[in-house]
Amino acid sequence: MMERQDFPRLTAATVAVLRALLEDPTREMYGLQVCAAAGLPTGTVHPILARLEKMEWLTSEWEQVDARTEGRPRRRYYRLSERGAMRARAAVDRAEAQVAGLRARRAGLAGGVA
Amino acid sequence: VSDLSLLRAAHISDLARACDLAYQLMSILECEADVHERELATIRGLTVTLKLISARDDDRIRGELLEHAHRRTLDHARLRTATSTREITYILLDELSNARRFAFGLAEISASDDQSGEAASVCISPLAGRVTTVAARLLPCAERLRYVEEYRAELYDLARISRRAQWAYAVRLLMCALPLRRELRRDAREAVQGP
Repeated sequence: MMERQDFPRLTAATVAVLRALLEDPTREMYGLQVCAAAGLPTGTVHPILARLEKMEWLTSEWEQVDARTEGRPRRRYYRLSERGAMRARAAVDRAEAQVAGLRARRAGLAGGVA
Repeated sequence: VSDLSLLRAAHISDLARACDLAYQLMSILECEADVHERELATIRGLTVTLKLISARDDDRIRGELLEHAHRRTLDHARLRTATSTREITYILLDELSNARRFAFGLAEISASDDQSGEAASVCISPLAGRVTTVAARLLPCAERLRYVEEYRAELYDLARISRRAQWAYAVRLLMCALPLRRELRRDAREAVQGP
């Protein structure tokens, strides 16, 4: 039960975001990059990132640049925390296992009908 | 009532054809060897959004159909349905083309990510800027400034692609503002436990 409580709501979008971040857990990405890596529309990941950040799976920090020198606003970069990377891996594995289980059940049902 | 049912069935069939057309376009896009897999994933994501948009249009059209039916002008309603279906198809075609441009634009952004000092001409849409500000204003006070700046940085990147990409981004931010507000206001302990 405790294990279950440590996981966020694993929607397909959340799993996609976690999978994207797990491709390189040390890499920092800002919102648009997360969207592109996860295959999600722009502007839709901030609630997910906020939830994961509240759970301390993610850390975020401002880009270390001077906006005036760069001529553009600073970006907010997100990265998996050490603990978050482990939890995220477990969460994604669990989600994939559930999907595989459902597929197996469907295949079994289809086989039974045939 | 039976006429209405027939009309709804015809309309749903038309929408299905429009969706089929969108999927065919998707497969044409997928056939292009130079399209990167990740860009295709982005296009797929946007297509899902488009389906949602078409579903919303479906509701609007259904409302119009009911109104026409009540006025016993079913012929006119049929005409409107056909027109609306055509409109949805054009929107889908337009948005798919936009999605493709957007995907390539994102690839360009990634490629030029390190060249932050580039002097590209960037034009942020004032409308998109206002909508993102409104989206940020819906958030808790303590987090507002952070998200204003974060949104502005992302909008700036999208400004290198197109105005439509900026508008789509701004609208999605607005749609996600309340879920984000909920997440930000949720106590950390509650967040860990889940809803």
